[in-house]
Parts: sequence; structure tokens; C-alpha cells
Amino acid sequence: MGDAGGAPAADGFESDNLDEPEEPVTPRKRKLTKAAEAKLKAKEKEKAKKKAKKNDNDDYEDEDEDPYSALSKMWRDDIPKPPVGSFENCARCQKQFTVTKYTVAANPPPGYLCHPCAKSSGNDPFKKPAAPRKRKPATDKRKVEHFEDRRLPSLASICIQVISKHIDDVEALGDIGGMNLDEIAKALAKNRSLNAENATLFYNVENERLIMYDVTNLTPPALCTLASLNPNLTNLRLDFCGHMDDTVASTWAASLPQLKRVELLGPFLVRAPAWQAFFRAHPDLEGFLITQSPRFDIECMRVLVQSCPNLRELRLKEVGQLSDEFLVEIKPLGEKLTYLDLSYPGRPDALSDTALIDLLVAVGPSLQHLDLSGHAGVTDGVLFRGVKPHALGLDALMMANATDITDAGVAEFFETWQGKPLSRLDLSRNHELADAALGALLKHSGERLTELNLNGWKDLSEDALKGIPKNARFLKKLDVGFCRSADNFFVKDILEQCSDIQEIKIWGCARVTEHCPRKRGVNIYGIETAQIY
Amino acid sequence: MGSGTLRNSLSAESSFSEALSNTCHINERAVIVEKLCEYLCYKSLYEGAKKNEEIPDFQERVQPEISLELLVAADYYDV
Repeated sequence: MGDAGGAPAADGFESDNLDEPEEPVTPRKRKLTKAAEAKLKAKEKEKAKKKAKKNDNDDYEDEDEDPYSALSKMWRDDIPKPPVGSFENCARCQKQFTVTKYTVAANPPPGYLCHPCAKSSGNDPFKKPAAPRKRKPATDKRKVEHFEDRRLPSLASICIQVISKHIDDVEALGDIGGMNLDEIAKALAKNRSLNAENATLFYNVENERLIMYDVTNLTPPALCTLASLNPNLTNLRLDFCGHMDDTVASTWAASLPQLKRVELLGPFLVRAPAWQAFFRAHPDLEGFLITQSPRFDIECMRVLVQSCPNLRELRLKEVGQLSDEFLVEIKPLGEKLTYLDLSYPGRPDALSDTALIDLLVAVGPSLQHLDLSGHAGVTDGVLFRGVKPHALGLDALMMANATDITDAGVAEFFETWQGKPLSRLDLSRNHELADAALGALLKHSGERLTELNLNGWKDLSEDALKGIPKNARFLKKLDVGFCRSADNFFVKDILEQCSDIQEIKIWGCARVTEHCPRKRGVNIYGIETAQIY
Repeated sequence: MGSGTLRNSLSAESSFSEALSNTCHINERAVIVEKLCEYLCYKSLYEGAKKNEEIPDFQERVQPEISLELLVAADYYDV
């Protein structure tokens, strides 16, 4: 109030100075909006309260982060929350509800809301914070080449489709006679597209020889039609004939009367009785060569020998049930058998060396080709007591992967053997063999050797290798893979001195580099540093 | 390059005469050579096409009369 006493002020009435002097308004405060002011106030109060309540339980400290009770902080000026568990009346609907730690305060204060009211006003304490919605994931920007969806068909496959479409229209396909049917067969096989339709391209009533390189897609009925459409077949060779089964074998028994030689790769579905019927129907069979059949058993062997006494060529390669008993059965074929291939049996120890020797005693004299690769039972003994005295007419000898023969043994064998020089020799993957064996065999067969396979003779020395171009001048195919001493000079010698050479395989010879000399017409396989495009 | 055989014979690393003279002699009938070239153009044009692009069919352009020879040639040139 003004001055004491009732005397009027010097410059006016007393009533003019009734108010207290105004507080100076700081320019800063003017700029703050109302909301900002409220915020500022709340913050200051928080700080003050925090300091005061430092000793309180930690729940209050954590309330900053906890979204459930963050709201209640704002209304702290409000009536403090009643203890949890007590009853309260909802500020909106007046219903009675139990206070929990999730109870939210009413807006505007005072009061607390029951759960349904709180939810309806949008403050659902249980609602999880809305996950930020992601934008549609960006499509993979890398250019992925989808080989399955998009692949330009190769011209060869297009041609094959055209041919298959017009297979029955003889005029449309034009003059087949001028074409080399064998080439077409190979092209079809490479694409694995030989099937029942385009196979008819090769069928002809006059056909005597038929070679199909991949008949995987020919079903049994198709194979039966093959027989009926080519009744005059004498030579038949089918590779990858996995679909061939009993029905096919019995059809062939009936409809291929002239068949003399049959060569099959992969007829594993044919059962023993079917084989036997087939043999009985072809007593003139001269060549029976099959690879991969676990069902061919001793009974079949017996029937084969009984029915086909003129058998000249026999191949039972990769036959699962091969055993010594088979060899006993083969013996009667002794006079005529020229080609015998019993390589890679189902069990490496299937044949014992005594049985082999017995067999060679019987069939040796007429044999020209002998293949006993993959047998663990082939030992020096077989060479000395079997091959040496009896198989003197041998032209080709294959004993790959026969781990029991020794260097000295082979060397002595070749030194003392009276047989005529071999033209094809395969002693690959016999790690024991080395210089002595090579020297001896070159001396014995060098002048006639055309194919020599020494893959895996890792201990061969450079000097011994030099003997090859010197002694085996007519070599056409040479495989010296994994002979570590082979190098560029060796290859050069071969190229210069073996004028007929066509193929050299030097896989795993680290000393042959890309500077290895080349010669027109010679294929060199296995140079490790060759450029690949 | 579209054709495997041509690519290998013209490659700079080999010492084939084709590479040195930059020419390849193709001993096929004219109509076969024409089809081979046509296919090579088709292939180079549509090789990099994306998934949903329309690619014309080449099969209708191969006459059945030449299909056998074309097959042997296509196989040789690895096309």
C-alpha cells in the first residue's frame, strides 16, 4: 500500500499507487509460447522432485523410459496415485475399479480412469508401441541371371525339336541318305535328346549295325520297337540303356534273330531269367559285352556258355556278382575266346590269383585282349604263371589299378616273356611300378606300342621317361599323368620323335607349363596352367 | 561370342591360322551358313534380355528341309 498516514502524494492521488510495481518483463519470456512455458515448468518441477525423491524407490527413476507410466508423470501435480490394489471410482464412468500400476490418470485431471475408459481415450497402457512401418523392401538391385527362366535355346536343340516334329514327314526332312547318320546320332546324344520319336530316324529294315550313344530316354516299349523295326541287326551297341528290362530282353530274344554281337552299357534292370532266355534264343552269339549289371549271376554265366559256344568276345565289366566260380564257367570257351574283359568287379577281391591262373591256362592261347583292371587279386603270380606261359598271342593288356604287382615282377615278366610285342598296354594307377618296369616293357613291346597308359607311375625318373620317345616310335596315345618328372622337354621329344602321336595326357605333371610345345593335330590334355576362356 | 568353336579358333592365345589371319572358313552350304548367321544375330540380340521381355521364337524360322544338316553344323560350331 502506499505511504503511511493519510496525507495525499505530491504528484497525484494516493489511489494511483495502489498496485505493486510490475515485475520487469524479460524479452525472453515473451517469446515462449504457452505450451513451451508449460513444458519448462514441468521440467523444472521434475528436477526439483527428482532431487527431493532421490531416496525413493527406483521405480520412479525408471519412469522416464517406461512408456506405461510416462504419462502419469505429466499429471504429477494431480492427486497422487492411490496405492495399488485399492478401489477407486473412474473419473469418467464412475465405475469402481482396482488401481493397478497401469492405471492412467484422467485428462483433464483430477481422477483416474478405469481400464476401458483409458483405452477408449487412446491411452491404452498395454498397446505396444506401433512398429514403424517399413517401406516396401527395395527390390534386389543386383542383376541375377536366372538360368532357369531365361535361356536362349541352343541351335542344336531347336533343330532337334524341328526334326522331332517332322519325323514322320519323310519329304519334309529331305534327303537323309547323304547325311552321316552317325554324326546325327552323336549330336542327339550330346543333347541327351534321343527319344522315341527321333530314334525312328535311325531305324531301317536293312540296318545291320546300330550304334546309339545315349538311350536314356528310350522306354522299354521304345526299345522293343527298336528291335521290331531293325530285324536284320547283327551288331547292336547301346550306351546308357538304363531302361532296358526283362520285357525288352524277351522281345529281343524273339525279334533279333541275326544278332551276333551285342554291347550294352548299363542294363541293370534285366534279371537273370531274362538273360538266360536271351542267350538260349541266340546260339550264334559271338560277342556279349556288358558293363554294369548287378543281376548277372553264375546261372546266367552257365547258360551263356552252354548256349553260345562260339562266343569270341566277353566283357563283364563292373558286374557285381563276379567271383571265382564265374571263371570256372568261362573255361570251356577256351578255344575261341579272343577278347576277355573282367575289369572292375563289384568287390575288388572277387577273383583270386589261383583262379585267374587256372582260367588263363584254359583260355590264354587264343586271347588277344585281356583286361583285368581293378582286381586286388592280380599279383605277380598271375603274370608269371598265367599270362607268361599261356597268353602268348596277346595284343592288348590292361591291368590298371592292380595294386599288388611289383616293379621287379613286371620288369622280369617283360624281360622273359616270349609273347609278341603288345600294341596296347594299360598299367595305370599302379604306384609301385617305376623305371625297371618301364625299361623292360619298352624293350619288349616298344616297336609295336600304339597306346600306352602310365598314369600314376609317380616314381618314374626322367631318364626312364626319355626311353619312351626313343623306343616307342609309333605311339598314338600316351598317358603319363601324375608322372612327376615329365616336363616340357619330354613332351617336345615325344612330339618330335613319335610321328604318329595324336593324344598326350599329362594331368598332374607340374613341370609341364604353358610353354610346352604344341604340334598341329596333337591334343595335349592336362596342362595345368592352360588359359581357360 | 556366340559360337564356341569360332571363339576358340579366333582366340588370340591359340596359334590357329584363323586367329592370325582373322578369317574363318566355313565349309557348309550357303543356306546353312545363312541360318547360322541368323541364329548368331538372334542370340546376341536377346542374350541379355530381362525376364519379362518378349523373345521371338526361332524355331519357326528353321525349315525342316535343312534341319538335319543344320543340326550337324550347329553341333560342330557349338552354337
